[in-house]
Parts: sequence; structure tokens; C-alpha cells
Amino acid sequence: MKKLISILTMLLFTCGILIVDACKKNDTDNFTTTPLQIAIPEGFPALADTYKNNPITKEGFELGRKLFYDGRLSVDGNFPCASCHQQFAGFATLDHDLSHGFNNQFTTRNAPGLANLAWYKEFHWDGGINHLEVQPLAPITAPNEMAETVENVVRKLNEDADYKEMFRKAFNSSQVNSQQMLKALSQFMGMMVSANSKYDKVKKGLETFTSAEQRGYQLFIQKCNSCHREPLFTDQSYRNTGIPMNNVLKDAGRMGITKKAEDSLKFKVPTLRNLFLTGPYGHDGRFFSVGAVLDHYRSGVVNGPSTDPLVRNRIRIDDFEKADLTIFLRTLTDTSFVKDKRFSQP
Amino acid sequence: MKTRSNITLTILALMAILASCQKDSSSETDTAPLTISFSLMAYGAPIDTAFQYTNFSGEKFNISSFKFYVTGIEFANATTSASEKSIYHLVDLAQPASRQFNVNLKTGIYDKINFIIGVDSSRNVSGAQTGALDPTNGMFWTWNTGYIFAKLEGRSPASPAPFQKLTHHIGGFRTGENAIRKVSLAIPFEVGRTKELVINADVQKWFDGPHRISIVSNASVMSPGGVALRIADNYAGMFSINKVVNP
Repeated sequence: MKKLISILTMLLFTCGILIVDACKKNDTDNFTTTPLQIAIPEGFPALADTYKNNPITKEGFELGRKLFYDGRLSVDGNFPCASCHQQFAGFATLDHDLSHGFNNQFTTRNAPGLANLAWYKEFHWDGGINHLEVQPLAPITAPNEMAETVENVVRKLNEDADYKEMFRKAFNSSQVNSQQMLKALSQFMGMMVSANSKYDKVKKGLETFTSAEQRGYQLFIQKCNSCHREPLFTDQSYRNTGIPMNNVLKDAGRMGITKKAEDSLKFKVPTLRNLFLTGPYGHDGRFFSVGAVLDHYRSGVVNGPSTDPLVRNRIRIDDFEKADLTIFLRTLTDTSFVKDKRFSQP
Repeated sequence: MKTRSNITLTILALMAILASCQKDSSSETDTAPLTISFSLMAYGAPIDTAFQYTNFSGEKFNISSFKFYVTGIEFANATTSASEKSIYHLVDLAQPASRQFNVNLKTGIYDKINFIIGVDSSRNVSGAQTGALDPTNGMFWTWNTGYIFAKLEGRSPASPAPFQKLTHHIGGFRTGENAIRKVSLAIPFEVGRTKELVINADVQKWFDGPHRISIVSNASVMSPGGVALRIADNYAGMFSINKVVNP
């Protein structure tokens, strides 16, 4: 009898656990994702908060990649993100000062290379965008870029059975919405880590600089590193580097966002990673070579009220130093990154 | 004896577990729904998009779009208050259904309804949002991240802008540009008995409140700070109680 009662007790208990279990499940049925991690390279700082509400998964990443390469995000189908962010050009636009958008229009700024975005807190040359997730809304809706509405993009995605299935797998959703689209794009872009250049290998002790590269690196630390700070090669600040205003574009940079006069002509310090793949240079692409940029700092700086004190007296770089610096900057090219199939058109 | 109490305990535990599993019923018996309705008005009458209105300085204008975010709805009396947390309602002239929604808060007698016109700063800085805050609702600045809290569009012969457009997109959450405004309306009502609170939002005050906003010099306001702050001050005063519907 005693045994029977204890069996009964056990049975009741198991039953209870099963019931509780059943009441928990429901909507998570049949939904599993494969987590992915951003591999933080040695010496890199901690990640920005970007993925707090958006855990990266294989499914979300692959969906983001498909979106990145899909012309349907633009009004006429011709302008995917990748039209201005080409992998072989370090995800900048090869050889273009200003990129081309819908209906033969120029953009007003040089398309920056994309890499290590998970460490960035603000986006665009003027820093107007405060989160990677909402960055794609700007090019999608700009009339001179992709010229589409977010509403239309979401509608097109909902009309495509493949996309619906991919969104279901990534976000367990039956209806695609803009938030999921943006989170997927953010997952793809955040995984694009570039930290396998010769410079990185030297830092890890796997390779050594030539003597010219080493001299260039010493010069870089002395003359460039306070703004283009290692290991991201940008301190993410906004500075006026003495580039006078372009009279057609009339772009005042950071001041357009903050409306403060002291921010006039300030632009974000761009990373130097993949420098030799991402030219032309400057916010409006006015410098067609790295040499032209160095010459600007040697002799082209035009001082105004907001010109950065670090360049106000120009930077003393002689011709030999210019050559060594250039040789060092070439070690920032990450060939494996621009050939990485994970980031290529699927 | 011991085993019997074991069974009793197990059954009790089971009941407790089951009760916790269906948690909706017991804990929320002290809340009740109340419908909040917004009547979108201009100069004392419901907005007619075909009508040409005249503002304080004699400028004529018509209205094609009028919408704003309502959040932080709070019912209060001298001793207590109850509020919605992190819920956003987009009230839109073009979407009649959006002008009416239910709020489920603690039953009781209140004498004040408070709400916020705007979008909390954390929602402006934490990436892609959905629901009422979905950027497809056209209340989001893509080039300078942030929500448009309130929008008024139309045309006016006084406007120097192309096509005589009148475009007021008001928002801003950063220090010095904060356009978030709190509205407080005194009205006795009872959650559990009152069916509906009808609140007027009258465009007249948009132009003519604590600040006088002329169309000729402010036809296009599309970024935070400056005149946007003054317009936000104005529209914070455009709300009034229309009626309380009791059974």
C-alpha cells in the first residue's frame, strides 16, 4: 500500500511537471536558430551595445546577406546596398568620389568602406545615425540613392516566398516587418570583421615588418595615431581637417546634425583599414590617392575657426617619410576579408 | 499518515503550479478597460481636409496630414496613480481607427489624465523598433536618427516653400532639443464604470499658443531644436476634454 501511494505521488508529480512544461512551450515549437558570435580580435576594444536586443544567428546573418545584395531594396531594382559597398573595394565604391544612385544621380558623399561596424557607435560622415540597425533606412529612402520607401521594401519581401521562409527561420515570424529586416542587415554587417592584414599578423607576432614598414609605423604612431587610433584606426571623433567647403555640395558635416557652429566642416575620422582598396578619400572623395591625402596634411590644410589644432600647423612629413608612411599604410590591407565567401553575394 | 500528507502536499503543489501557469485571470481582476478617443479638430470643428482655415495672423492653410505619438498614459488622483508603461499610440488623421484605443489600468476614481506627446529618448537610440514605432509609419528621421513626435502637413498661400507646402515635423530628444511634452487634463472619471474619455486636439493651438508661429516665416520645420521646441510648447496645449462617457 505504502509503495502504491508513493508511486501515485510520483505519478502525480511527473504529471504536474509535464503539464507545466506543456504550458511553457507553444510558440517556441519548431523554432531553433544557430547562434553566431562576433570573434573579437586580439587587442580590439569591447563591442558597442549593438547586439543587446539582436542576438546574431546563422539564419539572421544569411538573411542579412541576401538583403544586402538584393536590388529590390531600391525603387527600380538596380541599387542594392552592394552597389555602393563593393566587397572587392573593401565595401566602398571603387574609383568613385561620389557614388551613383537612382536615376543617374550622384550621392553627396563618398561611400565609406564597411568593416568592424560592430565597434562603431555612430554612422555616416556626420554621425547623424546612432545605431547600426537604423543606418540602412537612410540609403534606402534617400531619393538620390535607393529612392524606395521602407513600406514598399517590406511589401516586396512579404510577396516573396523564399524571404518569408528565411524570416520565419531567423525570427519565427509569419509576417515580415521592417524591424526584422533591419536586424538581419545589422547581423550581416556586424559580422564583417577585418583584422587579418599584415599589420595584424605583425601584432600577433606571426610576421615582421620590413624596415620601411617599421619606419612608416613609427611615423604613423607619431603623426597620425591620435586620430586614426589603433586598432580600429579611428577614434570615432569628428574633426575639421582643413578641407575647405565644396561650393557645389555645401556640406557643413557634423554641424548639420548638432547645429553648433563649432562643428562646422567636421567629419568623422575614417578608419584606415583597407585604405588602399577604399579610395578615393575624404568625405566628398576629393583625394584620388593616398599620396594626395598626405600632401593635403603637408601643405593643403586651410585653416578656419573649427580647424583641428592637430593639423592647424600642418603635419611635417618629408618625402622620405611620406614614402615610408605609404608603405606602412599598405600593410592595413586585409586581402582575406575582401575574398571572404561569407560576405560575398550568395 | 506521512504518505497521505505527501499526497496532499503534492496535490497542493500541483494546484499552485497550475494556477501560476494560467496567470492572466487572478492578478488582473483589479484593472478595467477604458476607451481613450481623440477628436482631431481645427478651430472648434472636426478637421475637414477640404476646408481652408485661417490662423491668428490671417494666413490661410489647409491640412492634409496630422498625427502624433501618445505615450505614458497615466490616471491620477490625490493619493495614487496608474500608468501604461512603454506603450505607444500613433494618433493619425488618416487612420480613423488609430484615434481610439483601449487602456487597461487599475480600477478606481481618478481626477486627472496625464500623457506624453513624444517618444522616450531610449527608443530613439536603441535601434529598429516595431508596432506604432515602425519607421514605415513615416514618423522617423532616417538621416538624423530620431522620431518625429508630431506632424502637421498641408498647403498655404502664405508658404514660400515649393508648392506652397506647409511641413511641420516636430521631434527631438537630445539635451537642448527635447521636444517631449507632458499633458495633464483635469477630469473626474472612474475606471470600471466610465466607458470612454474623449479628448480634443485642436490645430488652432499649434500656431497660436504660448508662441505665435506664422506660416510665412515657418513654412518648413523639419529638424529638432529652435522653432520645433516652440511648436511643441504650443501643441502641448492643444488638448482638452471633450466629454466623459459614463453608463
